[in-house]
Amino acid sequence: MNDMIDSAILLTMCIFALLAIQARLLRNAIIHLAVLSVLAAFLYMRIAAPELAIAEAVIGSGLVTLLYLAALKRNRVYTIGVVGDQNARHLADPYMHHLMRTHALREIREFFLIREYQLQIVFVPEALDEALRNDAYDLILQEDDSDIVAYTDDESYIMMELEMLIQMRGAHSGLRFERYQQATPEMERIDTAGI
Amino acid sequence: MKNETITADSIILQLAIGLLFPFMLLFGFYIILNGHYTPGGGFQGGGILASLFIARYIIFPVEDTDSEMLHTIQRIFLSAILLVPLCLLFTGVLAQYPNMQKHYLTLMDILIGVQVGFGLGVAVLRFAFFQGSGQTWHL
Amino acid sequence: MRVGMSAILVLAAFLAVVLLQTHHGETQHPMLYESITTQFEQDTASQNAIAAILLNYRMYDTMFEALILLTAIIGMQQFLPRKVDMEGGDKAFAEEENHEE
Repeated sequence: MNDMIDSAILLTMCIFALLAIQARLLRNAIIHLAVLSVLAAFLYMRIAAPELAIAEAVIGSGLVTLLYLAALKRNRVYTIGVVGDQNARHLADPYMHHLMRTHALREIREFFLIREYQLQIVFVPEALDEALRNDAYDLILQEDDSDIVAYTDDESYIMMELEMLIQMRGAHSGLRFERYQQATPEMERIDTAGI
Repeated sequence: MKNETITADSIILQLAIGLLFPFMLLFGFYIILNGHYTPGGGFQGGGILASLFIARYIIFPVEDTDSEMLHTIQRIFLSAILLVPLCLLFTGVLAQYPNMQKHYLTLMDILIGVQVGFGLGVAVLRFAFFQGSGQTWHL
Repeated sequence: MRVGMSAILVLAAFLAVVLLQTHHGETQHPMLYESITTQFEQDTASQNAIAAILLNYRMYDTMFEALILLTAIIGMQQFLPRKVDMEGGDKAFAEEENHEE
């Protein structure tokens, strides 16, 4: 019985290690590693090594997870704003769900997923030109008849890449790109961290 | 920064960690002080003390923790860690006074715990909060 | 190429260790084991054998472990950029931008 519990823990550890390797998002991989550490601590506890169990639980699943998360945070988060009807703010959630299911949004999310960029999609309560002036959004989507129009900054390389990829995948994905010049040049912070 | 409005502080997280904070402090010192009696000791308790720095940062996201000061304290404690066994243990003084043994163990546990805790605290603070692209970091 | 070569090297070393050193049932000398487990309490007044080993029998190990941690932190303090430095850099950058306009 005891052996069975031990081997069950070991097997679960293997599964979580494989999940951590295979995870497409780094954030998920970090959480899988934290679970792996907790299981290792439990195993140490079972083989009568409580000192190691405490150290593993505190350092392995606490501090190291936090360090990994902090390192991941240094990657930028891209924000997609979805411009909707101003008067129908209470419809934001169903509208977003409807938009998520479209082919175009799926393509965009796949694009960001492959590059492991964190992506967040928010509903913009402002009107379109106001949202364009606001530089909190990297990409602004608006539904126009049957197409979805994507407004991108014409200096952002990542958005150019996205546009090229979408064009290569075929024009019938229902996504049209519009370039716009941002009124105030957005000041990119210099990342001195790597130096 | 761009996404300032979206990464706001979470009040639930702050309240929960604020409630847990004294218990974490108590647990860390319990593990350090009972190192010679129950499982645990300087290194494990030091890890818990280091996590306290993070918890404090999450509750009050003010960057007034002086990492230089923590580093200086760590260096002073390291010199104590090197000096106390040199004077007591390696010279054989401790073997002559059996009553001092327990106090010696407790003293060493406290020294190692504070040293490791401040050291890991400095590491985590420097990596996680002082570095990022100039932006404060929230969970 | 280099990756493949190093992989072969590692594999060869692993096989050599496994094949040549077949008896890896390391046994401690029973005298040492017994003397530690029976005498640690009266030697060091500690109820916990691990604390006795860490803080008395193998004190050098603990001392230099703490020293390694301090060395790592010194390196971190020296080489990681500070928040103040980065803010100064950003301010200088912003002023430059303003001058250009």
